[in-house]
Amino acid sequence: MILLAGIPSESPLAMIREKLDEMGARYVMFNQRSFPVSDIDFEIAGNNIRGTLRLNGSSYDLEEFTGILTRTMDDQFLPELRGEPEGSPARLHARALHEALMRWSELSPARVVNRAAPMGSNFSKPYQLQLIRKQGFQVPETLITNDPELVLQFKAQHGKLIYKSISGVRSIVSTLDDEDLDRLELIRWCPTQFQQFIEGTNVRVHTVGDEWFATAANTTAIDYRYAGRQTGEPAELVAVKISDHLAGRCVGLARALGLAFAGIDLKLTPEGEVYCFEVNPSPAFSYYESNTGQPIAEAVARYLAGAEARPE
Amino acid sequence: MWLILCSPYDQSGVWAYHGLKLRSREPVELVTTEMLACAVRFEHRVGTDGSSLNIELADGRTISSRNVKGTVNRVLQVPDIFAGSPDRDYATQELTALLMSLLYCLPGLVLNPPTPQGLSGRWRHPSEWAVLAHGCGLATRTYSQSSRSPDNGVYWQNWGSSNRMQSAIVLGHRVFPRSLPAGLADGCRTLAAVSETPLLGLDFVQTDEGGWIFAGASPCPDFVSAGEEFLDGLAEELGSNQKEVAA
Repeated sequence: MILLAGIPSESPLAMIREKLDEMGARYVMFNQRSFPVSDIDFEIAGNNIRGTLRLNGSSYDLEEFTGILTRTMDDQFLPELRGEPEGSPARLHARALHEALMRWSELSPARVVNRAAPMGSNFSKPYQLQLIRKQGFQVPETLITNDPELVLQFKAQHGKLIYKSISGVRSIVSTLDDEDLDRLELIRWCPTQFQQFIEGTNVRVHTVGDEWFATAANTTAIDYRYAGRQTGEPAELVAVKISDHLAGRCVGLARALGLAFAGIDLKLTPEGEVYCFEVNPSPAFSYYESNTGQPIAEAVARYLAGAEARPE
Repeated sequence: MWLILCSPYDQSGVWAYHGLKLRSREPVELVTTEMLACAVRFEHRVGTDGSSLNIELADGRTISSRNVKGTVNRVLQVPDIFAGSPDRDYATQELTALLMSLLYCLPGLVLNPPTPQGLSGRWRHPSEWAVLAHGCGLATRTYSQSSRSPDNGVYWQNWGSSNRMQSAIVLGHRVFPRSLPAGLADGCRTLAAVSETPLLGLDFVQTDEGGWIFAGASPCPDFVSAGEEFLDGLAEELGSNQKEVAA
């Protein structure tokens, strides 16, 4: 039995659900918006974790679940809670439900896409970059500073630079241009992350367990996800082949970060070098699948359905 | 330099600073979280060949990859230095993300290294500790959590009627107090290793029959109650790691 948790109409979740239907897999949908008619309780005794999930009048033993997909939104922003004051019974129940569900899924022996704790590495990009480097990938030279003079030296050394958030918030990549240089003094108020610009092709590698899907994003935009905004034309996404060796390294990187499902951002240079920029623990893969036809949702569904025990 | 990073109100951190100064020829520097967050100049580099940091504090001191040999890291959170700014949340997230990366690239022994679940080591939920502790051979009580409980999902563990508590600290392979029963100390040591927390505080409750039940763990424990023998151990741990680095 598989548990899907989130909003049923969210594209990635809907696509995985459709594939589970096609496979004839048994699953249960926890629709967050139905929280008033949902409950969970569990107990840990020694190494046994057992409990019950109740959804709209139906009960399920937690031990039955061998696969869990969590794509939940922040419960405090659920439409059903709009207008509810802080501390209202509805808000408290929604919070308690999501908290208990998350705690159980962190401990469940099921395959979980993805557990919450490993997803945290993406919170700090330079921290994650250090983890990526430890797995043997080249990473772009990065400077975080509040000293404008250091930025100018870094620019003189590396030429074209980009800048982006240090955390995962407001993370849109931009080129450091003349207009930015004119206001560089402002970084004294908040350290900022600068990175050498790497020429080459953006490749997103989705890994699902041991499977992988590589997609090239052809665009002149600095941040291909926002190509429409930055160049007026969306990026062209194309399925590409990468070497088995590189694919294996990507699978290994995701595994090292504890992610069953990951979106790994690479840049392949004309000289044949591979740089890794980031690992996204909650990839919006539907954008890539709908443009390329790559069967990513099917792979996630297969992963969720394919095991009875926690992967190594 | 040995670095003590903590809040100015952190009694354990300040106590460790004074204790280590008496025990070490190495300079010991106390840097508060506020001083770190409000540094005059940050320089943090990450690249294929490694990472480095160089931070100039407002009082003129410098923390760099070259002068730090060991760190007691008790940074809990970024201070609220952006209060009143419309970008307060964003700026706080940025500074937290920066500190996480800076602390991760500190050279030498770091007690404890940062994780996404805590700047001074991973803070785990009691449910996680219960599972891990049981797996390490420590006695645990049943843990329950329910979204239907009257207190809205607060977890629950039954400690029985005893109010006798015992705290312990694991520091590398050392366990304090040294008088802890050997079996219990072994379990503590294993839990610290499994949880990848080289400096771990543990709490136990004594049962009516005299056994010890695991009651919780923390990557940022109270040092003071562990006494002078803990400070001796901390100085030895930092010193021995320094020799290993030098070798």
